[in-house]
Amino acid sequence: MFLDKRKGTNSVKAVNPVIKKETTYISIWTMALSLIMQGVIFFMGKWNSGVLLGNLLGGAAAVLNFCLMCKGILAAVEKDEQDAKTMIRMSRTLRMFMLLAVAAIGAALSFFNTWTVLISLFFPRIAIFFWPLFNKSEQNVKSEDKHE
Amino acid sequence: MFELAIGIILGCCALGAGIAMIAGIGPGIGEGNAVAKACEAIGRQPESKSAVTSTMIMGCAIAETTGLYALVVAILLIFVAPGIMVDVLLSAI
Repeated sequence: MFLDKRKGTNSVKAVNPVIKKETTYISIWTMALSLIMQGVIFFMGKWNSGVLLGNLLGGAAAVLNFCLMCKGILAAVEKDEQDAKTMIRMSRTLRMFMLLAVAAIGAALSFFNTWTVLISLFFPRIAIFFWPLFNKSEQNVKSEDKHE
Repeated sequence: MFELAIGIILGCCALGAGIAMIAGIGPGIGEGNAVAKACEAIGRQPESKSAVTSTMIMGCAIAETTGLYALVVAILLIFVAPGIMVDVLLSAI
């Protein structure tokens, strides 16, 4: 929690609405897809605590990666073209190292299921696949409001 | 002879993982260019900042998946493939 020291109040520093909106969308989809994956593995009869822990690790890393990417992009947009390029490349390299560490931990430690860690990393991609559908419906609602 | 075969398997897996990670370079360059162009677009039309940013975030996330595929292949080559290969070798012997 970020405290506003100048005012001496507990006002929370506002998160950018774009980051909030997109991260919420990705988080909801990641949770839904995680539940589906858990269900499928359970019905296959191969469910154990490693599957759940692996899913939690991979899902959390995927959402964190997306959130950090949003923050990086929004910070880069404020800069000039060349600085933005450099900043995004640096941000991507660091996030790649983070994902590499998460995947290596998931693969190396026996109490994580390697496959669920790796599959969970792709959930944001699946969420983005469906993004145009929801975005399109939002745009349609807005345009209908304008016409009225 | 057996040790040599295992050494070759491990070496090839490590080499394969390294080659797979070359695919991680492309998305970095692509994302950088996309954001640079978005800066240009926002500079031209500041009122469209929200729409441009939102679309660009999703575009960057898609571009990043390519790097993620490479990462997954590399991790599988390092942690999973050697075990399978050694099992195959042992069963062949």
